[in-house]
Amino acid sequence: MKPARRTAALFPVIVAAGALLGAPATAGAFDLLKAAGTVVQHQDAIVKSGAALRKGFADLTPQEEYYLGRAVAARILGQYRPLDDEGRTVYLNTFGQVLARASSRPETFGGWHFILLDTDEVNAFAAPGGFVFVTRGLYGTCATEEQLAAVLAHEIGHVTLRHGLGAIKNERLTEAFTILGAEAVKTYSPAQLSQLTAAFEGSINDIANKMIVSGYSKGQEFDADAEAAHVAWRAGYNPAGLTEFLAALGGRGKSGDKGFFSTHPQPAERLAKAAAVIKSDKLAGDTDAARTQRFAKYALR
Amino acid sequence: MKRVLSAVLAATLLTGVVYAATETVTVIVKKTSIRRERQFYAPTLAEGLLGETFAVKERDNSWVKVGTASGDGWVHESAVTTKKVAASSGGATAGKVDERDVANAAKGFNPQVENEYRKKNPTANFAAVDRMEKLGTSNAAAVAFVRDGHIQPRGAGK
Repeated sequence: MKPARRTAALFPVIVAAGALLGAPATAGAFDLLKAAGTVVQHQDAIVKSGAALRKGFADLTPQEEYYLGRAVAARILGQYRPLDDEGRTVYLNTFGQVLARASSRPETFGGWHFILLDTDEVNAFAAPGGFVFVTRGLYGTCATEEQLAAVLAHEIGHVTLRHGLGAIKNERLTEAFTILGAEAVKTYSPAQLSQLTAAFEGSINDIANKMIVSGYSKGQEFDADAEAAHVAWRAGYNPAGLTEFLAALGGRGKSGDKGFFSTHPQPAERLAKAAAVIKSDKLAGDTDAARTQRFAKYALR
Repeated sequence: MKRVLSAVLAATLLTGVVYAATETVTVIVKKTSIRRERQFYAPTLAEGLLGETFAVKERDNSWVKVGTASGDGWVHESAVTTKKVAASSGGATAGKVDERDVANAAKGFNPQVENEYRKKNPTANFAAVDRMEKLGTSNAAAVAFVRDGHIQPRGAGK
């Protein structure tokens, strides 16, 4: 990934970020600083969009991220049915909003949305822009609200760290940005629209394949876990829910499993890394009985 | 020499004041809340819509204090983009300066492209996505969720 060009207006922000990066930082703190940098690039992209300066996924505008996310979400919802359970849907969506407010990107172009998918498969997905899906199978693995907080915060982490957008092959964006660079164009000609739609479709395929089939890299999963621990802690939850969840998950996966277990690193490996982040970044918290009692009403076990 | 230095200093300070007074932010999300206090659980003072521009009054970490017709309120930095505004462009008046940028940003992957994609991919379930997007959560519901769970938020991320 090449660093995006920055405008002069952003220079003080970058200097400040650079100064912070120069200071000793823990792994988790570094993730947060990276996420902060992402927000800066993200906001700046809107200014550059007509100037043909855009190079890669970091230059996509919030609106473009939103439309990519909608299409990826449409792919997922073409494959899985939402759980027909209004009570749990409202609970999950409200819960997700509370956690997203503690993330590095509390506000996305179209807002955050969280739903349950009606399948036994143990899995979760997060499409760009903030469309988050948790399967009934994965939800049923959670024993406490703290554990579900960790699951949702991990998916929020994939969005804020822009892992989905990072899966888009660069040549697709180069092609799209070349078409979009023509400032004089107010509406697309049929040929331009066809080219742009092809780039859009290819981008959707890249993201969906990464999310559903091949999985993110181990490093990205560990980064999303570190972000999850921080988001859960900032939201007011006990980040130990993450390690508890990973310990519970460790007993469920089998070699050759599809879905979550084929697209994520071994839970034991993630558990060790997450525990190290929680310890080094001093993310201690308490698990309040009120939350555990509330979750008992919404659990699916 | 002292007079020259004083004049330069005064000019610099004056320029700084004018510069700060004309700084604006433009909303880059569909809709955002401008809140009475710098935290997400505070009551909403006003709404900011995509492309609307507000004068910056103050900054505090991830929050920006802006002026609205209903008074000054706080917006989170993830909902806005920053741009310095030249005095000749109408100062800090809402909607005067960033229209071209917002119009350009509206190009790209947009509803026109999505419609073409939908024609080619009929199994993609956009109707279900539309329903998912309608799942809203009011601030009151979020406040109740936090209160009932005895949750004490430690703040938004940076």
